[in-house]
Amino acid sequence: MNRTRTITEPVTVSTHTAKPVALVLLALAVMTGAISVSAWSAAPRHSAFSYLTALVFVTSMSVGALAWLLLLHLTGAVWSVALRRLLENLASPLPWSALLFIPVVLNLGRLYVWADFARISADPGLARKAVWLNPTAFTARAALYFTTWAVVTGLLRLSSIRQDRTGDPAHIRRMRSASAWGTIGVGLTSSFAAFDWLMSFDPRWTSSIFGVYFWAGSLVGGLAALILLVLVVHAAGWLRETITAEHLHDLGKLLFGFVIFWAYIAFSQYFLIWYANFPDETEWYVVRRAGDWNTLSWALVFGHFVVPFFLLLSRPTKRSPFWLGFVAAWSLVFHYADLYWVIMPALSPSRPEPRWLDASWLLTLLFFCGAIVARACLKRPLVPIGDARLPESIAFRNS
Amino acid sequence: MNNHSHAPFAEEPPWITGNHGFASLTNLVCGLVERRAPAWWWGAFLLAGAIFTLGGLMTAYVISTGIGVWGMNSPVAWAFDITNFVFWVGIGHAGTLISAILYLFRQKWRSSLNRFAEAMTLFAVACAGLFVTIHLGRVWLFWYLIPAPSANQIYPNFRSALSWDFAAVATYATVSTMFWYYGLIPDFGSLRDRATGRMRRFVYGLLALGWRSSGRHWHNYESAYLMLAGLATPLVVSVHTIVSFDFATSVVPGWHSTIFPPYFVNGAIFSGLAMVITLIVPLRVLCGLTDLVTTRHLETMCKLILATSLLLSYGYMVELTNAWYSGNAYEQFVFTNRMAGPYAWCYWTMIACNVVLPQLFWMRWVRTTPWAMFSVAVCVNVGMWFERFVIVVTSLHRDYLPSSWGMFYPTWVDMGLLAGGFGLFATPFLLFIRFVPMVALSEVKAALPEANPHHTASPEAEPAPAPVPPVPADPTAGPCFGAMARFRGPEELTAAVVELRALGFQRIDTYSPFPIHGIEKALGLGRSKVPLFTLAGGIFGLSFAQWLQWYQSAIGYPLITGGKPINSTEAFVPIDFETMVLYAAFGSVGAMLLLNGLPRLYHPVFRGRSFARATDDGFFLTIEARDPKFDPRETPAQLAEAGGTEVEFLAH
Repeated sequence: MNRTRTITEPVTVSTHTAKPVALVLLALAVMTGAISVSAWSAAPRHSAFSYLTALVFVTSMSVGALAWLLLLHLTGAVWSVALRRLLENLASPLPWSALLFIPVVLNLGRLYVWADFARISADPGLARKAVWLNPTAFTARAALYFTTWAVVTGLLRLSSIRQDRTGDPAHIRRMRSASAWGTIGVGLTSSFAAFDWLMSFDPRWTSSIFGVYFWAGSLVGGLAALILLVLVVHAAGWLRETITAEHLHDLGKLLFGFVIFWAYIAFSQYFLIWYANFPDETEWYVVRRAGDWNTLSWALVFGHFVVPFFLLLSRPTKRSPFWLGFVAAWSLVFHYADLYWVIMPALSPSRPEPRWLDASWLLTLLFFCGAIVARACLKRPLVPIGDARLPESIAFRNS
Repeated sequence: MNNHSHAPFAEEPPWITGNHGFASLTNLVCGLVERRAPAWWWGAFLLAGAIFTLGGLMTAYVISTGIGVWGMNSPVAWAFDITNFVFWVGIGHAGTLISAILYLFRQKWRSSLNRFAEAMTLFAVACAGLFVTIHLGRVWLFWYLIPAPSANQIYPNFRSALSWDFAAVATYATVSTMFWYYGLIPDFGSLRDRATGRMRRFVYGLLALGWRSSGRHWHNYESAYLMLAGLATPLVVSVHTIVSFDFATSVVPGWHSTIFPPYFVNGAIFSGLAMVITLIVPLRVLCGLTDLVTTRHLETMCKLILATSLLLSYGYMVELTNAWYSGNAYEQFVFTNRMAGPYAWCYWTMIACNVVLPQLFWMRWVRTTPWAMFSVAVCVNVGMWFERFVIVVTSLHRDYLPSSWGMFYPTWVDMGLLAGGFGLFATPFLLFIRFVPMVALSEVKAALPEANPHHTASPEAEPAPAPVPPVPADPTAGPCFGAMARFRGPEELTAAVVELRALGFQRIDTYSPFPIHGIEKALGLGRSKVPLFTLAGGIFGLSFAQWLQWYQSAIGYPLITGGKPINSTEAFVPIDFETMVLYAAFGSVGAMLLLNGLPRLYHPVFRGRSFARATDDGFFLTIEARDPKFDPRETPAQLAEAGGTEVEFLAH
């Protein structure tokens, strides 16, 4: 076993292959976006909800990727150095998400009951929350969240790219200390984003674990996105000898762990509310445990936990690109379903009313973010070539 | 491999200092147990024993007189008993974190600390068990918790947090004990092989279960260790989760909060890490273990304390903001009462010790200066005790009904038991460091660079053992087990296996003081079958628990409690999970013993002249006489050709 192995293949994407990919994705985004926008006036309220669900989905994947980047820097995990640039690329849509959030701000009245000041101040139970839940404060906080994410992503990316040129090991330390502060910032903002964007649909309902619930989902989403990106890059013919089955195996183990973590957090929230049986709290689950919403609840239990759990339990699944990719894609589908299950009952409490709008907005934002990730992959080497730990990371073997 | 036993970069110091080899590590760690007890140990033991006795007397007084001798009252029906219970269960969590969670994350540095932290877990869980048992009041009715068909046809209420607690703490105590003992088996082998007195040899021999550190042993051993680590990780999370359920499933303001499960688990790990620092900082100096538990270990632990402190602070903050955001007047009152009521000083002590002081660990100087980190860690212990006191008492003492408000003041019995808990913790702990290796020897050895069979430049090239002429071959004299030879190191041993197998030998086994990476492939061993037993145990435990709870709640004694349906699957989940883990752990350990044919106290290989070194620094190989290729005349020469020395025949 070599303790170190150097890069044996090109790590910079050739422009003539990747540029069309980014452009095609962008064109697709424009196309689906145009269709979605043209349908807006026909169903403005549903459109706003579809848009928000899709936006939170893509943002949570990028925030999840950013969180992984921070955690891997903090723990000094050498094995993951080869994956670092891909995580940076996955986080790169974050500054753009701020722009994508503007339509949400413009449609607050369609989305959130508290946006109607007259209504909230007339309700004695909610009147005092108007200090927190009002359009101005909401927008200002959202701006703060996006700024934090963009700054943390930008700082880490900057340092990482500089290291490509200079190979200066001081960057390792710099990125690690930035990650210490960055983790605090991203942890707090993403948790408050969950309170603001998701929990406040029912302004009466509160659950202190909700921020952790969003973390858990985002970490699963970010990880699954990373696995898929690795497989896409492999399929395009790059990094096949740099990111090996050993790395996939480790990503599979992490996905296994965090699928369990999500289930643990989701169960804790449900169990405590079910057991204590306070009307204010159970209301949220009563809606989701009736009729077709209950079907979706059970689908989440199996789709977001049981199926990936059993698939990832076996070692061959974690090492096989096909099966790992399958579980990652599956987990992303159910991560979306989870957000749908959290958000959409606010629109149609009696039963889910899926429309093609949900899909068209989802595709629009996926294509758009995909184009940004592709562009990021195109501009820089796909692995941090200046990091002295890279050879050790490439040679990494699971024992 | 993320092997950190040597530094990948010049800036990072190595984990283990002092240029240790296999033999010097054995001497260092086993020497602690074999030498006479130093004076400080006797002083500490007498003090701990005195406090232990005090605790014993207090316990006897409480049980014989009743818990009225405590300062509890209505509305404060839980106070020091539950505070101490949660405190001690929490301390235990760091042991499992270090031994299981860090193992799964391939943090090899943990091997210097895990044994010690596991012992800490055991004795902390024992303390927790004491407090939760005596808090029942009539302890002689404790058996009501056991789901056995009783003469009264009454079954435990499985929808009650008390039943979950019983399952969780009992499972945790059992699995932690197994995990600890399991890790000790190879080290008991080392002590057995070094023992000079007959008595020592006999006792450690029994405890080692006939461990002979063969390649096949290690193969199943490592597989079961991985299974145990994989089981202990969710188990440790579940234990404090269930402890948090004791509070969070209630409708008491300040207790019912959905963040409680992860917040309690994190707080438990935080307090346990602080206890590890509190104990190891003085002990590493007193026991001369500064080469194994280095400043780098301590610094890493301090970073973990800082991280868990930040997560804990997040928990405090979310609780507060949610109390405000919920608009619930009771919820808000609890928090203003905590911050400005009669127990405000407890609340602010908690904040100062758990939130403010750990921030000192941002400074490298504090993280690397033993007395400074020791001081912070002691404060964290205090702060975490106060956290539990604040949660338990301040939520109760001013409840929904202002006319029943009251105060809790501890009596001398409360204080005596609080102290007694520390005696109950410290006394067995001191015995542990006297009689059991306090560092996981085989694991530390496996983390040395020269333990890697691909390691080439050995820093301290030990002189090869002097060539001893082969024992005169006389296989006709009696039944012969086979031939044995000694090899210089892991690399030579692995090469010899490959060479001898190429010659057609099949019944080969190797013996080494630690598992050699890759030798199971050379020996041609397939994947270990241990995981199948683990899975079977888990499936059995889960089905059994689900059947038991369903039968007793829905058929045997159907009674609506707490407005819950008779067959409440949700409420059965905690015990389902605990029982599943318990039986899966039994399955793993049982499989290791079964597949390795242990316990088996006698085996021909123990007749090897220098075989005692196999648990120290020796590497051996045997070929059994049953092997079709075995030839009493040629095999010794073949062994010598493969690099073996001290070739000999072993009688049955």
